[in-house]
Amino acid sequence: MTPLFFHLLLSLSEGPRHGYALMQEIEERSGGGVVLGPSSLYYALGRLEDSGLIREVDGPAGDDPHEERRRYYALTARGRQRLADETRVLADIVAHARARGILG
Amino acid sequence: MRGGRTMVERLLRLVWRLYPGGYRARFGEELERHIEELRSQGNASPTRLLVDALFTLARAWIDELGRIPVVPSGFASGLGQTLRGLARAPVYSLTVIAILALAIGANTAVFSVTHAVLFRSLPYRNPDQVVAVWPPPLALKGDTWGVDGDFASQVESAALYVEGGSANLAKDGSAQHVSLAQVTPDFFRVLGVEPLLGRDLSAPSTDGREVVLTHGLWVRAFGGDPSVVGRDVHLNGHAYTVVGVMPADVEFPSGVDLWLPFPLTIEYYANAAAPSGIARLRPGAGIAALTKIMNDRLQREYAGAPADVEPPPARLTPLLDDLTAPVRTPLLLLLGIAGTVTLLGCLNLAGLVLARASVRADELGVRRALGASRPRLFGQLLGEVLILAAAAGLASLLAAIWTTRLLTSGLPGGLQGLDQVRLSMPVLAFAAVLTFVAGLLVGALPALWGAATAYAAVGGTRTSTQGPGHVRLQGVLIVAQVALAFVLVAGAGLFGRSLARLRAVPLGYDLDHVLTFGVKLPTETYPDSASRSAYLDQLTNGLGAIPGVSAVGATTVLPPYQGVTVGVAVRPTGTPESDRVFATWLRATRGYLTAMGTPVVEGRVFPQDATGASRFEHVVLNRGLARRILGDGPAAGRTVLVQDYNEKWHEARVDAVVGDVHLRGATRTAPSFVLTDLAASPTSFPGFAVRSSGDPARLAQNIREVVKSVDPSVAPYDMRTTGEAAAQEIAARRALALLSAFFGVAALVVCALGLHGLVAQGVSRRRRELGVRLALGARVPALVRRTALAPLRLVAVGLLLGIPTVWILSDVSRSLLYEVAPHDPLVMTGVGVALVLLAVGAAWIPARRITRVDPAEALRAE
Repeated sequence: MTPLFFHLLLSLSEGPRHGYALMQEIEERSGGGVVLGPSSLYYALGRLEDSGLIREVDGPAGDDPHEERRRYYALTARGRQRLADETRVLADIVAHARARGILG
Repeated sequence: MRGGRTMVERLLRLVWRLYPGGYRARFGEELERHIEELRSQGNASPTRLLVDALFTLARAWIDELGRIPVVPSGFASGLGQTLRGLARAPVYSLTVIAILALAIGANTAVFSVTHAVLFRSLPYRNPDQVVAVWPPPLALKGDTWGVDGDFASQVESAALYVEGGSANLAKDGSAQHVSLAQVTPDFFRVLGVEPLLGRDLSAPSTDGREVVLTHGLWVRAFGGDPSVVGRDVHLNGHAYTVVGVMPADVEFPSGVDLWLPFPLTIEYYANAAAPSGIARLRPGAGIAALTKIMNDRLQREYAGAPADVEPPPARLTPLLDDLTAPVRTPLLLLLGIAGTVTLLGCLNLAGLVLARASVRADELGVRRALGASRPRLFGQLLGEVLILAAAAGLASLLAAIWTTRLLTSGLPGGLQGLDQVRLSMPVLAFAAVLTFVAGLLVGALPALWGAATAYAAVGGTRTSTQGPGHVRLQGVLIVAQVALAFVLVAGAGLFGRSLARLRAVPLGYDLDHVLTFGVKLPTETYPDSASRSAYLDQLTNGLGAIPGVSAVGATTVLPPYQGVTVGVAVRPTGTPESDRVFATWLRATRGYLTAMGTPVVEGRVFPQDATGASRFEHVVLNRGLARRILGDGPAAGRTVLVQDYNEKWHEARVDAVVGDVHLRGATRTAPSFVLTDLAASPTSFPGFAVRSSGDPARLAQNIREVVKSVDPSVAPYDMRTTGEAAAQEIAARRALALLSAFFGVAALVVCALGLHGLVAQGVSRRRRELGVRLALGARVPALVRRTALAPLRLVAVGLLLGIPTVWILSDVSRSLLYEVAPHDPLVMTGVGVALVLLAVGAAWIPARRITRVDPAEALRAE
């Protein structure tokens, strides 16, 4: 799984989001390390949706009518499972790396 | 600013449109909203947006292509469509399948033989590490042989063996002839084989009277009885203890029946060759490294030698290469020939498939119009051929089984590994790969052309004549076929002519009505001339009494003979010693030349009783030698001086002059020989010739009984007719000539079919044009002639390419030819003329269809 997919799944684990919010959150979380252009963002969302890891959901009934027109995405059960699996793999790798003193 | 924004947006929309899977329709709105928001945040750098869009475009297509399954969706329906299409053209489909199946099958058969013989795995432990080696890296250590210290770093173990010995094995009151090899203690360790029963010869033996049996002899002579281990067997009257039996596949040196310790004390060793060496290299040791060490050592040993004496180079050969050296070139050549025929067949079929694609140009155009992409059309056209190729691949296994049988029966017997020829996994894999490659060779070009044409044609006018590209492509295919056919047929011609020359060589003896065999007389029972002479007389008389036998004789050397002979020097009386001429010394009884059918040119052969006489008192010379030293006049009755192997000169009377004899087979020149009476100095290893009025092979049983009745402990061996012996000697060349002729004919047929097809298509394509010409007054015979001769240009180009190819290949073919140059002008011209005639003939038949063209019809169409 590419880091971008992982970031997207991670962000969606806290609840449904729309594309723009996802972009902001990821850029923020990575401290600007991941810069997400719109074309690749929606391409990635499309791939995740096609593979059944996320699905489109109704947006929250908020006060901003503008927000309601947005497309909101949420993790599916498979997506949540996949996120847990990927995280475990990454944690294992990090633990190994740490054991070898890579991170000091 | 606003203009720039719309520019970027337009560009982005365009790029999104290029994404696979309806990306823009799916996310377009959301994307625009997103970008709007970015812009409101002052974050919408046009460059960044575009770079992002373009990168994602590439990424999306890579993903898309990566996602395409190997079997495309809709393959099943496509397959059905393809199969229905092929079923509608059964002649076309069957032709492609048949030609491909034959080509692949013949190739697979040759490969299966080559694989079994040249690339088989010897039944030894890590056979790659076992090498035949000269000089043997051994030294005598105490009373045994061990690896020479200089080589210990490279060589794990080494052994000497002497092959070619034989003896009479006593069995139930009769005898059977066995081949034996004497081996040093480490022999079986070098090979890395363990005995099936008992032990090998590595344990120190008290008297060297031990034998290890091959599995073959164990079964043949002892019925596979395990209790034979520990029992005694009698070889030439001596008792030997059987200490072990080797497993079935261990037979080295080839043809061996049993192994004895080396060296052997008793004498039945006379025509054994000098010892050969084998060694097992240490893991990681290289042949090159050891060769260098051995060459350095040889240089040191030759340091004191005169300057013009060069040390012989060390030779190290992997054991398998050493065993297969004589058949390597013919087999690889055959593989090359078969491969060339397959290539030829593929080119031919490519022409056929191209023709079909061109006929279907309209259909392809329609398919294109219905939305078939160019890669899809290419895939369909190629897939069609690959399906046919797959069917051919399956059918080829039948062809392979049949051809393999033909091949193995045509190859000389005694070729190790030949019994293991079968459709093994590597052979099947070879067939599968070949099937795929052949399918690509046949289908790729026409499919490319077809797909391209379908695209080019759409929107243009429908034409019934094809563009020049298609015709040119077919022309190129024909040129290649003619060139390959020329090479193949020229090769067949050369091998055939070589074989014919070889067969026409007068051997100097009859090939009909003569049966020959050998016996070995044990020195214990036949210690001296008198006893051996008595045996010769007794056996000669016994054989002569068999009904139908007209002459019997014995000799020291039966042709075709490959062993060592003794040389003598000879000169006319009264000439200086420097005039001497060297010749081979043969001995024979009076009746031998008559039995063999060697003509007596003048004089009489040994008219006096020679028993007890000095061996060189009376001699017979061959015609060539008599002319050389005595001139053209009569030679019988004159005296010559003969120098024996002890350098002593004897005065001898020339009793007779006889015809030249190709003693060492047809391929070697007939040697000069001095023949003396065998009765004066009988050998322990006489060969007998028996002449009969009928089929000599039917005498075999009678002869065995007579030999047994004279001495049951002596067994006849190598019993065969002279015709069989001569045929066996040239069997490999015969097989090569026959198989190359078979492939040559196949090449001619394929080539003729290709030309025929090309012209036939041309005629039907140009039907309207020809009709117009005829209407305008062109004469039919002239048109036919012009059409039939048109492909000659292609044939000429093909020949121009083929002739130099034969020259290039002459290095390979030269060693396999007998008295025929690799570029024999007769063969070259003959094959060239034959190809031209064939081409004209193949073109003439379809060209005659012009006579059936109706000018009126053409005019109506116009």
